[in-house]
Amino acid sequence: MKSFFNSLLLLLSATFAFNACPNPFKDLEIRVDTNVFKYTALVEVKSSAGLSLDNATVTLKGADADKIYNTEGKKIFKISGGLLLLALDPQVTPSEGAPVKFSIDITADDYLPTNIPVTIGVEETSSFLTATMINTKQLPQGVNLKTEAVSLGSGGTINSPVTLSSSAGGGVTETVSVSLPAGTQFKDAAGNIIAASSLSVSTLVANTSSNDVLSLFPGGNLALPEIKTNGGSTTAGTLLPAALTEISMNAGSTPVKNFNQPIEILLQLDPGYHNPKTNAVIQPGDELDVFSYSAEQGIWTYESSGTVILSSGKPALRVSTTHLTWFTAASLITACTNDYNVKFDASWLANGTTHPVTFKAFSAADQKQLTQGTITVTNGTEASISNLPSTAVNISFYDIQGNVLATQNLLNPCSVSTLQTVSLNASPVSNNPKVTMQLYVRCPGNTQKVTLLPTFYLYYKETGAPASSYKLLGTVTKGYISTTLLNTSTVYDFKAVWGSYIKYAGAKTVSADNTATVGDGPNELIGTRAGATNLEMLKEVCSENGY
Amino acid sequence: MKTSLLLVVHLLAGLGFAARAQVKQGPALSKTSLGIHAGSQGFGLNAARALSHTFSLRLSGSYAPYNFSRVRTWNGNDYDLRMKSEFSNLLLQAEYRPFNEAGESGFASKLAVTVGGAFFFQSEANAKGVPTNDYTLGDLIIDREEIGTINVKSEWKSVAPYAGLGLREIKLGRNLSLNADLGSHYLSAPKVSLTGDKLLSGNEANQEILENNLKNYRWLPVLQLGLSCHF
Repeated sequence: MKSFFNSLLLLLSATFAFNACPNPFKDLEIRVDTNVFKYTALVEVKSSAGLSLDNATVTLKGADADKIYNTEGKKIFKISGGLLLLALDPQVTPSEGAPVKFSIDITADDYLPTNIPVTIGVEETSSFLTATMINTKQLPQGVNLKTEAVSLGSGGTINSPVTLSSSAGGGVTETVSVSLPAGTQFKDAAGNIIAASSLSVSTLVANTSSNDVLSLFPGGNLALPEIKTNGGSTTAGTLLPAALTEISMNAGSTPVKNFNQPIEILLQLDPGYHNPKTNAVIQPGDELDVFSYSAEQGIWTYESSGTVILSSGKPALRVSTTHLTWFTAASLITACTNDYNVKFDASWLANGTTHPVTFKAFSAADQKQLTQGTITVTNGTEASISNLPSTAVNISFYDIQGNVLATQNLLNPCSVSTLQTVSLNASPVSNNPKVTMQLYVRCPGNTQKVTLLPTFYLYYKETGAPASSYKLLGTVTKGYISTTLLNTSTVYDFKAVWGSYIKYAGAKTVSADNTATVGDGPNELIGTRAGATNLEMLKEVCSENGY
Repeated sequence: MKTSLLLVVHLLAGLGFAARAQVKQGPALSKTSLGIHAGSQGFGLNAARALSHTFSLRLSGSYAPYNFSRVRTWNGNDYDLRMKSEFSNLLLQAEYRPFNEAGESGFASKLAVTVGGAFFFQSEANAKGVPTNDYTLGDLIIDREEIGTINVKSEWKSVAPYAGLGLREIKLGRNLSLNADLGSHYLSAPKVSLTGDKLLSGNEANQEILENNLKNYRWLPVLQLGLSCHF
């Protein structure tokens, strides 16, 4: 019996020895998600010449600029792969009636400076904006630029009156003349007279009869949330431009900001301009306003009003000013105080499939495009279109390939307060299968995959198409995206943008279910362009994140 | 180990039956006792019924709440891990006292081999991880309360066998005696869940790792003392 007890004690000892289990925390990796931001703004920065703008200088201005960071939480703003990703301090939340406002200045050699105002409202967690930079060496159709030199007298003074006129060309038929009266002196940003011997005057004129004006109109849109009116108050509204020009001067090598006395600008107007005040084509004797753009505030401000005259057989408007910037001769149509609320009926987008639907609002009077935006739509999606003008508009809805899916004609969007159903015809891409992509990341030297993946933007284009044709496929959330925008029989190039990192994967076909691991192991992706650089990038990011 | 445990249980059961066949007449048998106990599985009440000098049955109810916390670091961030476990069970034991065939008074007569099964009303351990410091991302400082929490829950099935040794009826008074137990429950492999919220969501991939680490956490040791009143 005692031997039995000895055996039993031995077994019980073994029982407790087995409780020497492995450390329960072994191999656990608890990580803080670096996607700390609740509000982001993605700015697609395009070059009119299709060139890279990654060396452009980005400066944020405005009351709330100090609340904006890059996605690494730093105050370093850089365009990567044509994209600028901005994020609002996660401890700041916009509220109803108190949105976060700032503007983005982008400058680059051989480009006209661009300023984009950004307003982040309480419900705008992801804002998508577009900025088009005009290359002065390769001007796009519909933009004309002329630079002329003028000799200055002692003290940098105009001795006798000078008039400089742009010339028609490049798809622009209207001209702009700048008259500098005798005695004019030129001031720098600090208000000091510039004592130079020569003056360089650049006059950019845009064709406002084309809808292309929308892409280069300062503020990024004709329909704007804020415009300073004649009385000094601010209103949301739409500017219908009859002329658009940007005038800049350099006295010697110093940029001119102001003058010691007013100078005169003569703006030739689009002769086919539909004047909303008279509801007819513009005529001499009509009244028209002039607005100038404040890049500092990201806002158009009323400058003056004038009577339309005839100049060289074309309607024109005289403007007197003491500063230089963008000017537009335009009619201001105030915006509706109510949003235009729509609900999409799209049975082809059932089962949770989404599609980026672009809407464009046109003036019913002359079919000029007033505004546009993109809504991520699934069947039953409700959305609001804000800042529509208080005038008759036609709204068209397009798929990603530009096919019209629906059109609505509104006599006055301000009088529509109920939810409107928009029936979207099936897009040709609806025949594509639903493609799901799951991406994993394994850091070099680690056996386990990264548990917490960042959210990044994925772009695509057909292989062989120019780099400027990349389109946004969607946001890849924690490595996952599901889409019907891709065809399983087409070869695509992909571009992934994560903060300041860009990764390309070329000549890929997709299947209904795609799983890939980014890493340096067998059968893992490391990118098809500059693979060694990508590996270094991956190592750097992994190291920064403690892997 | 599972095989070893079953062997022990079978062996003890077999000895139990053998012992019953050898029961002899002895001093008066104290048939019923009620008691209290406290130890590694908490505290509780028990009642025993002697079927003979060598064989008896015991029913115990125990409750064991444990709380403790410690700071642990992952990826440069400290977390205050607040752990809490609660085990409460009803245990039915068969006790065999091989050296007490005639109600002897020596120390060996107090030794008992016990086997049984427990029904756990509660058998779970929870851990809540709360960041102890603010989180820095570039120039931004994220308040630690905005980072979120990690919650871990381990649950075992409700029925578990038990085996152990005991000392019984160490006399403290006329009807009062001291009991001692040393044994273990054998639990099922725990079911583990790991969830995070706010900026700690997305850590769920750790659940599989944790479940693997805890799969051998099946032995729940029992070391306890008790007082019994005999009737």
